[in-house]
Amino acid sequence: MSVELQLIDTIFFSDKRKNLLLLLKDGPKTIEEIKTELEVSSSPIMAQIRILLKDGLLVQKKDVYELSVKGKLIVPKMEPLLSTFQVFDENHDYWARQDLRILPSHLLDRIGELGNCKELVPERTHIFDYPPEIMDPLYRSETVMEVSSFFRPGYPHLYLDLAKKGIKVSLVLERPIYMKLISDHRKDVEEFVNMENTRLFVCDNKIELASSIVTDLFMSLSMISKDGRYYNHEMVSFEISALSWGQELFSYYMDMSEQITQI
Amino acid sequence: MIDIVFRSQKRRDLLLLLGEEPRTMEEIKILLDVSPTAILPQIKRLADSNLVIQKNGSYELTDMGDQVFKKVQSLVNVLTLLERDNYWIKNDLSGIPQYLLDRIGDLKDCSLVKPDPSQIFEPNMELLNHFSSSRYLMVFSSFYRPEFLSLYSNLGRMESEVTLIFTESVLEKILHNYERKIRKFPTVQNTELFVCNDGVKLAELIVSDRGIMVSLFDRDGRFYHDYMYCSESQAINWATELFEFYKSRAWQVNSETVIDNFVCTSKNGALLKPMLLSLH
Repeated sequence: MSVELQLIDTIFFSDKRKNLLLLLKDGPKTIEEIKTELEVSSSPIMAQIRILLKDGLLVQKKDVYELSVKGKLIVPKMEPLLSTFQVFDENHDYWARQDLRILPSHLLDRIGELGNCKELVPERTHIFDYPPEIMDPLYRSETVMEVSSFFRPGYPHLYLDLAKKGIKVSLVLERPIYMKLISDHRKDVEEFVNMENTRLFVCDNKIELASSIVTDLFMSLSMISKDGRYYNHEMVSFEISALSWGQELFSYYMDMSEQITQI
Repeated sequence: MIDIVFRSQKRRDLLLLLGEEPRTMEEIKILLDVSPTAILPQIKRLADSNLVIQKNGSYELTDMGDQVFKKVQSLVNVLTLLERDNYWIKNDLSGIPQYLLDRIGDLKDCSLVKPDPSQIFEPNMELLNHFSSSRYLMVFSSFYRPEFLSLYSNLGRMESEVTLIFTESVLEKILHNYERKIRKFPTVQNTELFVCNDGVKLAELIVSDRGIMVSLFDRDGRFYHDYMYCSESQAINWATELFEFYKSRAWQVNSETVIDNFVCTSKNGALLKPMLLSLH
């Protein structure tokens, strides 16, 4: 089964070559454009271009370089690999602790889209709240969507407050959380449901995530680790690709939930 | 992660092997043809990186390892395909829709079959024999191969499903020479006949439970009588989808009236509208 793959060295073991291939994936470029976009000088990049030409990954047409047929078959496979590796590399221990299969498989396959993530853990003084780093963007967002399977003491108040500020708020809650909210904070939940800019959904399926928030500014994920333990944290990304990933995650749960229009 | 997976061919092979299913040390030794002393440090490296875990005496991928495996496999398949033969890059791939090009790595186990130069203009008996016991057969052809006609009707009689797509000039030629035979096709159960317009960028495609053959034109539209053959299930699935793609864009010849129409329009040199096939 083992084939010696010479091209692996070519495509991965030089950052210049790797970045150049990814750049040309978007279309042909002149040497000047390459130099500007990759912030490199002529002679080092020319050396790499020659290697790529020799290995048949690039072709030169007049003063423009572009991916060859071979390059066009290979480079699209590099990108999801590199982005997945990057996500895992940046928070290796975190992802190793998680049961990743609780994520819907079409989203797990695209986990690289989370891009640059940061794990936020609140100080002891805020141990039950969202980390302050996301409270600010939360209030600056125009829409806030959250799916949650656990109860945070701040819930009814926080979401009511966001909604009163004119932010569009959508929540998907697991049934037991909803029941608890109604029994403890019935008036607040009623007020929330009756607002114009809010939507509340109740999910009868098990939501295996602790929670996930997605707004027009950031997305965050909070997972329960493999051994079933949970600590308050948010894995946050501000990248555009992560926002659409988060919206799809929200829709995945919303689609299996029932909307509450009246209590 | 790049270094962990790609700096060592042993680790890469191990990841790809365990991606299929969990394996014991005995199996790893045999399948990768390695000694335990050579492979153990590599297993340890993968385990330290949380990609592999030992469970009940065998090694398996973690969730993270599985995700890494999927990405590596899809790249390695394409690299393997291209390393093995440059058939795909020197020929015209534009007859293959993008979603199947994205999975062209599924054809990595294909091997190139070059006909003996002295046989080029002879009926291809090798292919004929190979597919003669198929339980189902799907053929797309832009060539006139009269030797295959008896195969189609034999298989049809043996209750194997036969689906044929010919380009209009091929159908025209068959009709001209074997009108009686071809007229029977639409009436035989298990046999479906389709026609698509000329100029398709795929020379030939045969899919059966026995395997597949694909042949392409080069970028100048020339054909060299060589083809790719494979009997792996991944490749069969891929080729089935390619066939379905062409079928969905072809026009079914499901009655003798249609044949009459075809004979008549082709004599007039006019093209029936539904036969205009657009690929993208």
